[in-house]
Amino acid sequence: MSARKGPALSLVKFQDAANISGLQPDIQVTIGDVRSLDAVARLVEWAKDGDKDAFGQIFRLHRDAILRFARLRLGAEADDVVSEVFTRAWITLNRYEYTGLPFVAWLYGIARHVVADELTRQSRTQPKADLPESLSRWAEDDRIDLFEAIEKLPTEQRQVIEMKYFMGMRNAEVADVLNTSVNAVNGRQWRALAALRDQLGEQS
Amino acid sequence: MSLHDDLASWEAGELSREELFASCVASDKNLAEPWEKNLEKNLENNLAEPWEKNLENNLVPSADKDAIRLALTKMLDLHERLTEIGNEPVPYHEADWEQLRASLPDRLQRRRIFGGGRLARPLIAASMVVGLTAGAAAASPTVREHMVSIWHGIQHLATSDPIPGERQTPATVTSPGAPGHQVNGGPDGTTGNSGGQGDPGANHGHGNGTANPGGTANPGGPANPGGPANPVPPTVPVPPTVPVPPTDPGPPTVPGPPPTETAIPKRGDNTGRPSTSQVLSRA
Repeated sequence: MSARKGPALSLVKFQDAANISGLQPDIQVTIGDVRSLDAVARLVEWAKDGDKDAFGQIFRLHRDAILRFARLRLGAEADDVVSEVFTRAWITLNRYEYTGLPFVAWLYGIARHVVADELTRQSRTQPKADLPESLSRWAEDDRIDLFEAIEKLPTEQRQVIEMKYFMGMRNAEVADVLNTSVNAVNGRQWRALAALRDQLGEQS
Repeated sequence: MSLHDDLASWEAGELSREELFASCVASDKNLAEPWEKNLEKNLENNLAEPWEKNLENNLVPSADKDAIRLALTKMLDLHERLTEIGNEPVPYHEADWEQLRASLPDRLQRRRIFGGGRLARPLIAASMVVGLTAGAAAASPTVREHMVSIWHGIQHLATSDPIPGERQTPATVTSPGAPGHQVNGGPDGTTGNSGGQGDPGANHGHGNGTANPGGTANPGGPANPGGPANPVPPTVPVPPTVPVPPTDPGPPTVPGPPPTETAIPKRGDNTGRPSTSQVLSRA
């Protein structure tokens, strides 16, 4: 990798484990800049060539987002799902083509399928009443209520919440992924929050 | 600006909470929004008890503001709570990556001949177009005849047979009226086949050397002397192009020595040419 040229490689390498585990606001800006400089796209190109080190950088950059999303749906079983998501991403990486969307949006698509498969598997192996228990092993009570309320949202509103708050995407990026306008995403976001407020108000 | 725009402005830091509340109360946007129907319900509940106490005239404006503030505050708190959850650090262990890395399969280099699919797709599409076009063209009888001729050539090459027309054995030379010689449309206006359908002297030259010198040809053919006159002159020249060698003493009906080489029909000559179905069945 030393012979490769790229303006943002040093920024990407700066994201070592310590920095990623304790994200500070200025470092988040750095990650945002890395994305805007297409450094992730360059890492993806290298990973397509079989560069596992480049894929490791991708893993470090996006693991938290995938893990948060998976925990929202699965609770304690999310760690295994994260490994499965990145394994599938590695296998199918050649199909990815940069279209201007953040790479995390592509990972989100994979994660949705993996989580759905895991939920299907769980529903076959254990009764549905046990599902919140796996969530309770990880989250506090208020989060359980919040995550259950998110589960009950309409799909279009839930997707906005997942992508915006858990995958760290901006409204414009969410709009691109959902093929809609930014205003529509904004409306869905606040309607979803209003619905969550009502659901949580009824529960309390 | 709609309420959603105000909320987006607040999210972007352009409005404070107080400014947002003031904007919502001033324009009463909450009543125009469908998702705020519940807010109306809350407002009615809040007003119910004061109304019973005949204090509504003093409390309505305050309850209205409070209800709006309460509804919006809960939403904004939810937004901040979700943002907090989304930004909170997740413990990271490098061992997670090392474990995942060990489980990842090795990938072949992407730089392939076809450039990772960008060239492969047009090539596949082009080959499909060519194949479909060839298939459609093969449905035409003319094209099929040519294909059969080409197939014959390939067969000759594969079996190391002589190229048709280069070397001819006496068995390939036929005279008018001889068995195996077809004359379509004689000069007398008949449409009969003077040579008959058989090819007693050769076995179409497929290299097995088992010619039948004394075949059961019908030298007379089913000519129809009384048929309608055909004013069109014969297209096939009657005289043989190659003189009959003296070693061929008589008509082919007399058993002679078996030919040493098989006869190969010339291209364009219909003599003894197998039909398309025969060729295809052999293939």
